[in-house]
Amino acid sequence: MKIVDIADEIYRELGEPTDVGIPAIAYWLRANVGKLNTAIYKQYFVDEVTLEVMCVDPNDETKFEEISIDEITILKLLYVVHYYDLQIRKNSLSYNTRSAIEVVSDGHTVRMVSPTEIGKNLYMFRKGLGDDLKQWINWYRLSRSTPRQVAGDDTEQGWPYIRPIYRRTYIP
Amino acid sequence: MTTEYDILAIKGNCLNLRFVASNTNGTPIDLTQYVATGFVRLSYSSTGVLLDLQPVVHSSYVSGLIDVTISASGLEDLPITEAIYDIKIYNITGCSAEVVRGHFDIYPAGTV
Repeated sequence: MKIVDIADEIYRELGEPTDVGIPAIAYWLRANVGKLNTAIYKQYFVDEVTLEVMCVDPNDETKFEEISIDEITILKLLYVVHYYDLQIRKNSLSYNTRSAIEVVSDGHTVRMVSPTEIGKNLYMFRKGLGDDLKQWINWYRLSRSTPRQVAGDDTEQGWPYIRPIYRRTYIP
Repeated sequence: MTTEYDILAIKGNCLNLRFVASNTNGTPIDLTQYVATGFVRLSYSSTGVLLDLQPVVHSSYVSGLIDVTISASGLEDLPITEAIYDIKIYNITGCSAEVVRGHFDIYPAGTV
């Protein structure tokens, strides 16, 4: 999948925010491939010519393949966590601009937006996203884990067309 | 004085921009005997140039105007990213000054 399409999906999933655009998301995705590699123990890199995120094809070391949907899930979540980090920082730094949400003229009541409350909510939201990210990373690693040792042979034939690591000798 | 300005470009669209080179007090610089250059790069360390902005000093030199015109085909092959750019002016003695710099956001388009 191309980086521009991943960036477009993220942009839409965030609700098409006005403070960030597809180019900025695409830039962040390329700049933070290292985070993805560290999280899921992969070796993705940004191709210098196409600027796409690639990795060596595990079935043929002479070929490269684009990032697949499983890894994109993690990369997307990494960006979403980053996005809410930005929102928290923005909210923290805008403490001197408080918007009024209710003004009653004769009763002299003025209700202001509380940046502290917004900050708390954003933080809780971001914490939830961080937990989601950890969970997805764990699921990803689990799905890619292979046994250290297999004693004997399987009695059921594996489907050999998915990945070579699943191939077992079939003993009927 | 360098001004920060982010350019939004859409792939396959034309781009026409006009900048005013001015001093710190806001007075336009007399660009007589000045030439302008400007490039878009992926990052500051990139050796390759994504796009030559080919800025042109306007013929009314005293107004400090610098025009940038990029054709639709010029933006066609650019990657979708937040690149960086700057525009500098040089005079005949080789003295240079950066007029404007910022991000060069390249947006995708359905029709290219």
